[in-house]
Parts: sequence; C-alpha cells; structure tokens
Amino acid sequence: MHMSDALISPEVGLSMLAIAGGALALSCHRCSREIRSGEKLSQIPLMGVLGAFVFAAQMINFTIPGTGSSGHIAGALLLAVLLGPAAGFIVIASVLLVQALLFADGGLLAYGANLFNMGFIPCFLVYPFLWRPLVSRDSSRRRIVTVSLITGIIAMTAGAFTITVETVFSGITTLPFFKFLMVIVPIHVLIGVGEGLITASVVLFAFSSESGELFLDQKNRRIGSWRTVAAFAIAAALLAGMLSWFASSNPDGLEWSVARVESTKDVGQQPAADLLHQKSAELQRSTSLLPDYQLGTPKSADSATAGSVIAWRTSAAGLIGSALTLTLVLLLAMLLKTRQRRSAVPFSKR
Amino acid sequence: MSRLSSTIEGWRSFDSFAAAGLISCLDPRTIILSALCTVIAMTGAGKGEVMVLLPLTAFPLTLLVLANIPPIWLVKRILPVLPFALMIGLLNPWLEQGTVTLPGGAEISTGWFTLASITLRALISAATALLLIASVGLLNLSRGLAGLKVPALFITQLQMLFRYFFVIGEEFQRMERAWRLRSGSRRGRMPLKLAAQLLQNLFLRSLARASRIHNAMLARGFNGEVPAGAPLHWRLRDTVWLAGWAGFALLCRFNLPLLLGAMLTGQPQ
Amino acid sequence: MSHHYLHFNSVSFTYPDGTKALSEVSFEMYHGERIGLIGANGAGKSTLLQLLAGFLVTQSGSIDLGGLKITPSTIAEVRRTLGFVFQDADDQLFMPTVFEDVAFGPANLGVEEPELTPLVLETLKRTGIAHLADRPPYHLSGGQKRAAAIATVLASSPSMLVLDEPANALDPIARRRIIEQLRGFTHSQLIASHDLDLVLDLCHRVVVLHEGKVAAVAPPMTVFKNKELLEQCGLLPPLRMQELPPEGPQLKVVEGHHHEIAHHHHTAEK
Repeated sequence: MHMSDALISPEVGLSMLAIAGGALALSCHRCSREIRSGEKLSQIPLMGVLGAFVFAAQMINFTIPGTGSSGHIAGALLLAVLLGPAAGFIVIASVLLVQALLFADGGLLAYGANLFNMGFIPCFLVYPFLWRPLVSRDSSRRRIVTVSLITGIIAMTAGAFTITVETVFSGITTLPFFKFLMVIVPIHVLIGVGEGLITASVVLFAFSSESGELFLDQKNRRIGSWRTVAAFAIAAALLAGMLSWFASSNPDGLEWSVARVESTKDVGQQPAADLLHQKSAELQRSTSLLPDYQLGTPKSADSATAGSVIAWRTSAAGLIGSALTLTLVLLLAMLLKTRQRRSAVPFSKR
Repeated sequence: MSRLSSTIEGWRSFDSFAAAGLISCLDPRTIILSALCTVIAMTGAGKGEVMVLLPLTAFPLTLLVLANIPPIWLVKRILPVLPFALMIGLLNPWLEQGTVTLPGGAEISTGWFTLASITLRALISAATALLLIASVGLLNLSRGLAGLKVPALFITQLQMLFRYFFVIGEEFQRMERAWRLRSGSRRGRMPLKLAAQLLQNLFLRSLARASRIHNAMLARGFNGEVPAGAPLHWRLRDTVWLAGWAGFALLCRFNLPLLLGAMLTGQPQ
Repeated sequence: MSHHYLHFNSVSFTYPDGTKALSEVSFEMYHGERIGLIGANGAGKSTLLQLLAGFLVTQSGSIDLGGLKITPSTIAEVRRTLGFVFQDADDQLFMPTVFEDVAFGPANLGVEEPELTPLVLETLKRTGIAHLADRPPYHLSGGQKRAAAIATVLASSPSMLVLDEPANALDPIARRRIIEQLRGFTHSQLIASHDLDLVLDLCHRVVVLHEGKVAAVAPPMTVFKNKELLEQCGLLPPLRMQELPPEGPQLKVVEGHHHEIAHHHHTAEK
C-alpha cells in the first residue's frame, strides 16, 4: 500500500524524503565505487533488468493460498536477497519512482515515505537483520521458504505500521490509530504471505540455476558487519530525532493519535490537551498571515461553532478568490498556447 | 486487457505527448521543481482546508493545456488512484466531533470538509505527478533529475528500467497471454504456483538478457563509467517559470484567493 | 605479422557442464574478406563468436586478430578493432536514445566532446538513421533497431565486423537494405547466419561448422552445390538454389474448404 500525498504533511513528507534520499545517495555511492573498481561491472545491466522484472512482476495478480484474496509482489525483499541491500534499494527506488509518476501511486512528496516503507525497511532492516542471519547457517530449501515467508510478512506489516504512523503524524485526516492498525495489519499479513512465497520461489530458483554464481557471493557474504550496524543505528537515531522534533513542533498530530482513539471523551475539556491547543494555536497564528481564516480547522467543537459564521463569510470570499485566481492562470496558459501553436513544429517532422 | 498490457500501452502514450508542446522548450528541472513547489504548498494546507487548495489546481491544468494532453486521458488515469484516499477520508464525517453551520442553518460535521480536502489533494497530487511525466517525458525527466544532482547510478538505473521494461514486459505479456488463452480466464488471477513458475521462467530470461547486455557493453569498451547525456541549459524563461510557480504556491499557501476575494467583495479581513 | 587478418588456430572449447562446443577449429580470414559462418543449431557458431569477442576464454589453441593473440590481457585492445553486432538489437541498444547509444563506444575509447557529436552524427548519416538520433530505442522498428545497432559499432571505427544473424526477423525490405549496407562496407566481416540466401549474396567464403568441427571452408557456391555435405551438416541449400517450378509451388486444396475451392475455380476460369 502506498502512502499518499493527500494524507501527508510537508514536515513528514520532507523528513521522510531526506531519510530515504540520504539512504539512496549512500547506496549509490557505495555501489558506484564497486562498479568503477571493475569488481562488479555486470551490476548495471543486472540491476536494470531486474528492476524491469520486478516492475512487470508487480502486475501479475495471483491468489494467496488459503484465502480468497489476491495480491501482487512488492519485490524489495527479493531484490535485497539477490543484489544485496544497497543495490536492491537503488532498484526498488527506481521502481517506486516510476510508480509514483506513471500510476500516480503515492505522489511526489510521499515518494520519500513510500521509499522508506517499501524499500528501506525490507532492504536495510528486514534483510540484513533477519533474512540473512536466519538463512546463513542453514540454507536448505525448507529454511529459505520458511524464513522468506516470515520476513515477507514482517516487512509488509512493518510497512503498514509506518504508513499508519506517517498518516497520524501528518494529521490531514482523523485516524483512530489502533483501530486502523487492527484493520490494516491483517491485510498486510496476507499480502506478506504472497510476497514471502514468491520471493522464496525465485530466490531458490536463482541460487540453483546456472547463473547461480552471480548471486553466490551474495548468499555467502558475511553477515551483520559493523558498518551495517552503525548505518542502521544512525538511521534509527535520525528517524527518532525527526519524529521527536516533529512531535514537539506539531502537537496536533500527537494529540489525536493519543486522544482520538478514546472517541467518547471530549478532547477539548482535558487540561493537557488544552495546553497543546494553546500552543498549536500560537503556532498557527505565527505562521499564518490570516489567523481568522479557520474554516474546517476548529480545534474543538466549541470553537468550531463560534467560528463557523466568520468561517462562512470568509469562505465565500475564498471561493470567489479561488475561482478568479484559477481563471487568471488558465487564461495565461491559453494565451501561451495560442502563441505556441504558431511556432511549434510537430515531433514527426523534426 | 491485462494490467500489464495496459501499462505497456500507457507507458508508450506518455512519451508521445512529451515531444510536442511548449513544455518541451523548458528545462526539465524547472518543471520538476515547480511541481514539487505545488505539492509542498498543497500538503502545507491545514486539515480540512478546501479554498486554499482550489487555486493550486492551476498548476496541473496549465501543464495539461500547454502539453496538449487530452483531458479524458488524464481522467482515466486519475480515477484508479482516488479510492485509497477516499477510503481514509470517508471516515472523517463520523470521526470528527466539530460541526460547521452552513448558510442555510444546517449543521454538518467538519469531517465533510476534511473529506473534501483530502479528495482535492488526491486529485491535485495525482494530476501533478501524471502530467509532470506526460509533459516532460521519461527521458527528459531523468536528465532533469541528473541536473538536480541525483546520483548518476540512480539515473542510469532509471533509464535502464525505462529501457528494459518494454523488452521484459513484452516477454511477460506473451507468456501471460498464452496462459490466459488456455485458462479461459480473461482478467482472472493466477494460482500462486503458476505465478511462481511464470516468474521463475521470466527471471531466467531476464538474467540471460542482463548477461547479453553486459557483453554488449563490454564489447564497446565499458569500464564502469556510463557517459552522461547532453548538458541542460537553464534559460531566462526557466527562471521566470519557476519563480512564477513558486511565488504562486507561496501565495496560495498564505491564502491569496482569500485576499483577492475579500478585495472584490469588499469584506473586511 | 601474418598476411591473414584473423587466424583461428585449432581452437577448442568445452563448457563447464561438459558440453564440447568446439574442437580443433582452424580457419583464416583475409583483409576485407566477408566470411559466412553457417551450421545447424548447436554446431558451435555462437561459441565461436563469443571466443572471438573475449566473452569466453579459449581453452586450447589460439585466435590471432591483426597479429595480436586474443587473451584476457589483450582483450581490451582487441575490442577496439572488433565491432560486434548482437543477434538481438535490444541487447545492444541499452542507452536511452540512439544518439547516446552511438556515442557510448567512442566515448569509452576516449573521444571527447568537440569531436564526439560530429562523429556520432556522421555515423548516423552513414547508416541512414540521422533522423532517429533523439528517439529512444523502444520507439524504433526492427529494421531501424538493426541499423542503429550497426551504427553503434561503426562509431568506434573498427577494422572488423562480427555479425550474429544480421537479418534475423526483419521484413524483406529491411533485410535487403541491411544486405546492401554490409556489402558497401570495406571492413572484414564474419557473419554467422541461418539465412543462407544472405550468405550467398554477401560472402566471399563460407565456414561450415558441424558438431563443433569445421566441415568445410570454401566459396558459397561450392558449399551450397555439395548436397552431401549440406545433408551431413543438417543444412539445406539457399531457397534461391532449391528447385522450384517456375510458376511457384502448387498447393492442393483440401476437400471441404469451400471458400478455397471457389477461389481455385475462379482462378482456373481465368
């Protein structure tokens, strides 16, 4: 499942973009060094073709055994196993970017969040800390299937969890955190079953095929080097830092992640929540040019009713203004277009 | 038509728009950055905001007009994206306790505004992403990203993915079609075991393909360095375009429409 | 330096799984000569080409190209003089546009910008695809892809071309165009193909491979007239040399296919 631009706030979106982008830059740095040294010249076409393979494979809908539902693979775990975490991450990053653009899956700002949920977690957490250690001692057929199944489920569920956290922190929609998790986690367990089984079948096939030696060094690589652990620790610290910074700067999100779940209580009456409201109101006043304009953002039922009349007067003005702005911009575009028609040469005649 | 086939067709259609139109005269970096500005301004709007978002639709609409893209094409591609956002948004009218009094006197949940806001956000972000790639094109987009200092290896990976999706995708399409013809299912899902076999088969072909490409690269002296494409040229019009849209996004963020509307209707702030 | 350009000297190769692909293959090629490499599937054609390009390493015997023995240490130099055109143009056109693809080879050889663009444009013009420079390869037809693949190789100015099935899956006109083009080049050419008409049109001599051994090295007409040899090697003479009635093959209409029968009567009345 993709995190969407429609549900993300700029703070969450940009932080996740920074984390995922940083991981991508580091991965690229590491891989291009290996390629330039001549050690892995074949890596470039292999990555490109496997990216195309995963992208195509995602479009095959298969039935998940034991249930009536269907799913398709995400592929990051598979790529991490076949290519290693860094190269696997680069490949899944390219696949997710194409999805964000071609299918509008997620969106531009949510790309970072999606890359984290569906790329970083499987490639840099699940694969090096679960899959590889669990398979390194005993890489029998049964072991690979079991481990892939379990790690597939873990990767998917973890992704679902981070989506929920990102959505809650963004605060664009009201989401009862735990109830939502109750719904979303079982779905992702199911998807994870398919993911794990397909991963296992392709991995087993890859290790046993003629071209298996391509992946053999991947299979036999030493596990959990200090550098990976250090990188993981830094990433975790960064994430925690971002989240806490964010939590303190945007009490709104935290407030309802805690309070909304118990929907019977009136949030506005609680002293602690009141403090948060004051803070957030201050914050809003300091960032907004038009503090009075508060349609749809009442902090509690009371202020909403009080503000609703003003809100409606201002919103009428807003509607007219919006229409006007839109018309102006479109007129400008039309004007440019007529000019362009005179000068443009069709592609086929170039 | 299966999802795979429609993707292959759709992907080709993306390239056909990009070649023509005013957008192709601009530096791809300009378009990428202005799209980002729009999306950031959009996500910056508070929960339940609708009016602030409305003028932001101007950005995707401008791309649509300038790149000569048929609106129906866009509609067809946006529709599949909406359900997820709607599913999440639909809960709001029941979850939110605040109410708003409408001009007629009726009270409705603020959740309806949240829902409307989310729907509008989903529309703007999907349209922006789709029109970005449709108006700039896959190739120029990757060049633009390279110009924005995205690591060269990632750009190469992206270009290889574009390039070989068609080749691998078409191989896949043939195998899938053969299965459909024999199974009698037109849109159905594949049993897991069959899907796994199909993927194994395709995987093997992909590996063979990768090794042939590798040989082709070696035969032409590949030494680990993929040459960069032609350099981009930033012109005055790019500055104007980017400054214009960034300014517009900023104004929208700080409620330009409201100011304008207030001025027109003579209402005090 | 020998007066031969290319010299295979009792070359043998066995794959790791034990398949013996080539045994004691010897032949030579003169400057500017076009040699056809023919043989049934599995005769060892592609192994031979891969050894020549250094994708596989010779296990016994030697290959000399322009006086240089092909070994892993000389392969970079060998590849400068060798233009390898792959059977599937999709494998060869890996860059985002035709222009960049053609520039890939010379750029790796150290040709830099003031010279690179004119060189690429010139090569594209020479192969008749200058108008396709900015196209991505997936927007090209089969014939255009093949022409582009040849251009990518020519741009590095090789002295020898190695072509694997150059006319595979091309429509008749594109096939004809490629044949004319290859005939126009002055390079030495080694052409592996099942298309014996093409070999007959283009090649000065033919190397016939059979089960990893050289069965014959001779001018095409000599080989194609030798029915015994062809039969033994699992080949048929080129279509052009097969005996067909001058009015074309007479296909019999199967009973019950009314439409075809009607058509048959119609033509008979004429």
